[in-house]
Amino acid sequence: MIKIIAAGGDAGLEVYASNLSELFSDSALAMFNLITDTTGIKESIMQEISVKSNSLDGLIIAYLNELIFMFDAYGFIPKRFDFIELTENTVKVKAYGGKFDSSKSEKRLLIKAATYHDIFVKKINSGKWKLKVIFDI
Amino acid sequence: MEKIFKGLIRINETKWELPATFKEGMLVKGVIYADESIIGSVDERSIEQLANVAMLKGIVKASLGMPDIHTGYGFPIGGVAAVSLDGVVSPGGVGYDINCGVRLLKTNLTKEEVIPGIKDLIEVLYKQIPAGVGSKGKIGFDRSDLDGIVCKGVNFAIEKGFGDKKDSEKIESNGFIKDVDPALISSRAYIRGLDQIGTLGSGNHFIEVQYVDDIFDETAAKKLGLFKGQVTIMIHCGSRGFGHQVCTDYLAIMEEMVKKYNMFIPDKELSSAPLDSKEAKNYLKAMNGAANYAWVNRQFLQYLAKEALTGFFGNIKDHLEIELVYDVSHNIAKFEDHIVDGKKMKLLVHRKGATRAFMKGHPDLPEIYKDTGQPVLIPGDMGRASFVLVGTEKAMEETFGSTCHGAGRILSRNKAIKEAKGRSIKKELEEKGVIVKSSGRETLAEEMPEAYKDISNVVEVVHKSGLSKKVAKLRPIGVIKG
Repeated sequence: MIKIIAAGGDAGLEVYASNLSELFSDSALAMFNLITDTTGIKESIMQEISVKSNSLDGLIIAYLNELIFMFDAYGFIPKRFDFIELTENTVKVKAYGGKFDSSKSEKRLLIKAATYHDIFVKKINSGKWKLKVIFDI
Repeated sequence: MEKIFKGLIRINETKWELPATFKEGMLVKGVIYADESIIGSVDERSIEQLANVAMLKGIVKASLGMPDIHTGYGFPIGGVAAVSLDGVVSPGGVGYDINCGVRLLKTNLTKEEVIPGIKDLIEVLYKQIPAGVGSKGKIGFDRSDLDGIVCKGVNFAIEKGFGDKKDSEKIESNGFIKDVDPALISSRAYIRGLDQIGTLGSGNHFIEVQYVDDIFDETAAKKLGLFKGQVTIMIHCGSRGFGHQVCTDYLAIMEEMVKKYNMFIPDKELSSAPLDSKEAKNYLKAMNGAANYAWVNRQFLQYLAKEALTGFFGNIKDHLEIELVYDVSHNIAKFEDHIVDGKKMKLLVHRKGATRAFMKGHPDLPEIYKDTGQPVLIPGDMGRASFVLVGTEKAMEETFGSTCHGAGRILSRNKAIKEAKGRSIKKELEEKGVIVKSSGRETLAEEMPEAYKDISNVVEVVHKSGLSKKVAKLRPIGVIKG
């Protein structure tokens, strides 16, 4: 389940998933839906992402920021993820997706960064993983 | 003194104090500049953030909140914190958009000459200036140019012919901070920044065509070259992906550092490093590079806007003049000298959503503004107004030479979009005489005037409290946004 949340002039996500890879995958796909309409994007490019952190908070922030970098630098929009390694300190993933076309693609929100503001990532009582993350717009 | 609200104590009509006893760990008190109506709309979270900033090691005098205070990340937006040299630097006190700021251009056009063709002019500006998600700059640069931008600031742009020699003196810090090491800026920042130089971005950034609607101080207005009915151009933008990446990179480094040294911080976005540490020195050298990038970006946007206006009015107006009035930063940390308890002290002043407002005669001001005080540029929302003010002695005494930076949000994005449902914000603004064009699907709804406090009320507080003095009111007639 994915919920878009408001935080002042900014936007965020609340994501519930049955495991960590679903959490990492769904949160990234939802983030790109805030940036543009991703439905027409074809899987034509593969990008490898490898991020480490000393905490799960830090890991998901670094991972989302890496994807923001790839979009900002190369226009890369992921559609599907293949996780090679995913622990609470490491993520190694193959991301398959396409490219943003500024003449055709819909322009939604320009995300500057994923922030630590109110960051929450934990397994909750229901056994599901919950993530709350706020983006600086 | 009366105690009114959430532990705040009213000091006078426009000043409130948050005692250092409000929250454990506060090293100094908090101060908010606001009148009764503004203080009532301040959200509790931003007061907590003001208290958290008061815990930063080395903070001097008080954690300050301007009347546009609202919740930010770590620091409240509209926050000022000065730390002594045995204190810390906090990237959260600068923000993701390093050296986001405002630039004002004056023209010799009058509103009567511009209003009839404003729709076409906005089309021309929109075509000329890349804006919005995924936009790329039109001026081709390579990696070595980017080194020049980062290390030389606005001087690089002027050398390359994108401005007048006199422009640099009309920019805060002359558009250039010297202490930069490009080796401390990641290749990610370089890659992100290369294509985005000369782009407007999105969110609350804009280029606005305005006219001088009212003059409050004739002498200062004359010195600034402003007259009633005159058309001005305002540019609000920052360091784009380059600065966002620098902030992201160094927040991660400082987060690790906080863990390594087991430092106490009340909020992860307030990660900080002692000023004598390698991490702090490296961050400042990288941040200064991003600040230089932002000044060059606004210089390029000025160049593009000037080209558009020249093309548009070239055949109609003889001797079209477009000249820079001033350029201010409202997201930055800088070493400055201030008097504290009668003694001169070198401090690192963090301004997060706050504008420098140096008094007349200050050695850092250019000759042309020595006897007026530093021009202060405060943008409002796209429907109401913006203001030009000047810095004062009171600001030097009370706020380390700082004042507010804008209107401050009152509606969240979602609420604004909800309010705008079924309405055409574009049409409503057009009926008020403001032509708007934006690339984003929901930008106009998110940024509609009701989403912000009335800028006139915010400016009234800094004027009444003496933190800066009103010079002129500018009214928008056309806006482009990302």
